[in-house]
Amino acid sequence: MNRTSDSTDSPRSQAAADVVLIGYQDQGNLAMGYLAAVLHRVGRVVEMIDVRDDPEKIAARLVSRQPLVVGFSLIFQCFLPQYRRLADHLRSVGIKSHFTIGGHFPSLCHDECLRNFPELDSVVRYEGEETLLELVERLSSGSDWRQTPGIAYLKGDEIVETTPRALVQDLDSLPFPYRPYEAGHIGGFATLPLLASRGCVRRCSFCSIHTFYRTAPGKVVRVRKPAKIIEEMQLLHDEFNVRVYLFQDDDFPLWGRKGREWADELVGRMHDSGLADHTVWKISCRGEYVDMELFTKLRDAGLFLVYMGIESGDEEGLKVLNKEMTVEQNLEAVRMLKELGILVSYGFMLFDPSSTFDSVRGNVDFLRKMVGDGRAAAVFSRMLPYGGTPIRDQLKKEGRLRGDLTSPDYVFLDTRLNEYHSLLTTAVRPWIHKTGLSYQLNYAWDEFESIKRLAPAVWGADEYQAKLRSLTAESNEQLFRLVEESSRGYEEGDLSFLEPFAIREYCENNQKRLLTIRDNFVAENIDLLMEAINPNCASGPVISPQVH
Amino acid sequence: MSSPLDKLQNLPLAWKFEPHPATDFIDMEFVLRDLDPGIRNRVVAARLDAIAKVHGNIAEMHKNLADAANNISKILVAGKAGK
Repeated sequence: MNRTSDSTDSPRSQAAADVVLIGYQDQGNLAMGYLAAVLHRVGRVVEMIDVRDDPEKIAARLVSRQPLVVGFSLIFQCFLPQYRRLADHLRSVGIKSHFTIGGHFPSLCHDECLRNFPELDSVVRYEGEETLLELVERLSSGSDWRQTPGIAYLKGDEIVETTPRALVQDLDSLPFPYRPYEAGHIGGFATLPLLASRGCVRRCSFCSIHTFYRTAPGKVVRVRKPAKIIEEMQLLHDEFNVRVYLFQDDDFPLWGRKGREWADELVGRMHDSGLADHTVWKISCRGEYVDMELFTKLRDAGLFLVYMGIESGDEEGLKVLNKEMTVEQNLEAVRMLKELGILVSYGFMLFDPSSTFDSVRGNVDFLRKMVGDGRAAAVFSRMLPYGGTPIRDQLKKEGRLRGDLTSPDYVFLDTRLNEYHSLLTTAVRPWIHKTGLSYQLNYAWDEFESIKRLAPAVWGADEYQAKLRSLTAESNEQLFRLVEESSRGYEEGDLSFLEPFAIREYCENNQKRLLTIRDNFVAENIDLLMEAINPNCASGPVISPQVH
Repeated sequence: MSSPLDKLQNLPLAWKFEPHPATDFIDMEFVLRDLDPGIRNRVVAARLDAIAKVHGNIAEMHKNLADAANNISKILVAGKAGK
């Protein structure tokens, strides 16, 4: 994906940029894309830059252009230092633009953000489309930008919050996101993200999404019309040859009778438009939405992957996280998705503030039930108390909050777990970290499932699938045993199970095994696969249940 | 026509194995370890500066309140003596 992109299709593309948006561009950045599109609509020139680009090069671009506004798009506070380093550098080379920032963390913790990021002039809070537009217009016309609703700024030492801006009530009133980059890929298939809705009605204690939407005025969950979604999907297919769509909704809107009616219309339009015949798509949703009837329809319209925030395999853990789900509900959802031949991806917090050594091992038991069969690679993490989350406030009240603004942390009730967690995290990096074995296995599954549906005539699919499943099951079991044995060992004073060298060697060897079986499968089918990514190819999805 | 080995060794760029799962991988505990500690320290220092300033202002405010109370008390005493 191109990281730095000019708005070359803008009517004023030859002019200096009015607005430069800086943020992460992984999988496209829909937030920045929507902001840019809204600004384009009124003729503003917008440039989007990846925050990881060389600061010197970014500075060189901006010095000559001196945009009205530089907008930083930030989600997590851990990235704040990186943004601040860049802003500091931009100021030091003489860029005098209005610096503003938006995203979940700045919206919810605008005071901390402003006090710790002195290069900023303002914070755009909550959904930024209308606020940024008005801010730019005010700065452009010379009227008082401090009167812009939906912002916060520092006046001396005092934080000033202007009138809150309501959420965008009709998402279809927004233009399609600006996407001035190449599509990403799963295998050879082009992929891009999009949204069907915004907002989440749940109140998970570790998540700032509901606080973000509930604090701003207006309806929390807003759903787009299926016709507009299909129009955007078709546009992405025509322009980028997208074959794999990634719906990045906070919670794909399938809840209740209304959700089902909406899904029926979406599915119907996918069939009518022909998209169901030659594209696939992924959603994120809660396990309680999964039932055979609804998900059969979704699968037949191209749904190939469902991400669920499972988070805990322990009833007490689910309560602490306020998931409003039971262990059994989650397992049942996974079982149904497997039966339907839909890939399952999941978030899982092996450690949370209620963790004990027993609950950690209980969580491993749960993971074994869920993915012990090798149909997805085992992943896990530790819950961290993000700014703006109820659990952060609770931990603070209990005196257990640790760390600082950029690296929030907490202590476990059983203090031995603090050291054990730290040792385990280091030990399992070759599995769980971004380049780790589990990560690579999950990518191989995503790629395989896309191939199977979009190029159903491939040779040797069953054999490759069986090998992939066997390798995944073996890797998962090894990881589960490591956690079980090392946690028991740690309680008895034995740290030998966490020896990093042996773990690294195991993961590296299995990454090589994975690459060998994967490349052999792809090489056997390369002519067919090259044909399948040809823009004119229209292979249909395989809709019969699959056995992994 | 290329042999299976040729095909294996010369996979087109589009089909090289470059893992990046379709789902988000929000993994702060690893990201945090990769951050430049120097920069983090600077941000924390800036935060502490800000907190110190706030405390300084509160102390100043209390001092002013104490001074005001003292002045009021002097005025009251003077008033009583005047009677």
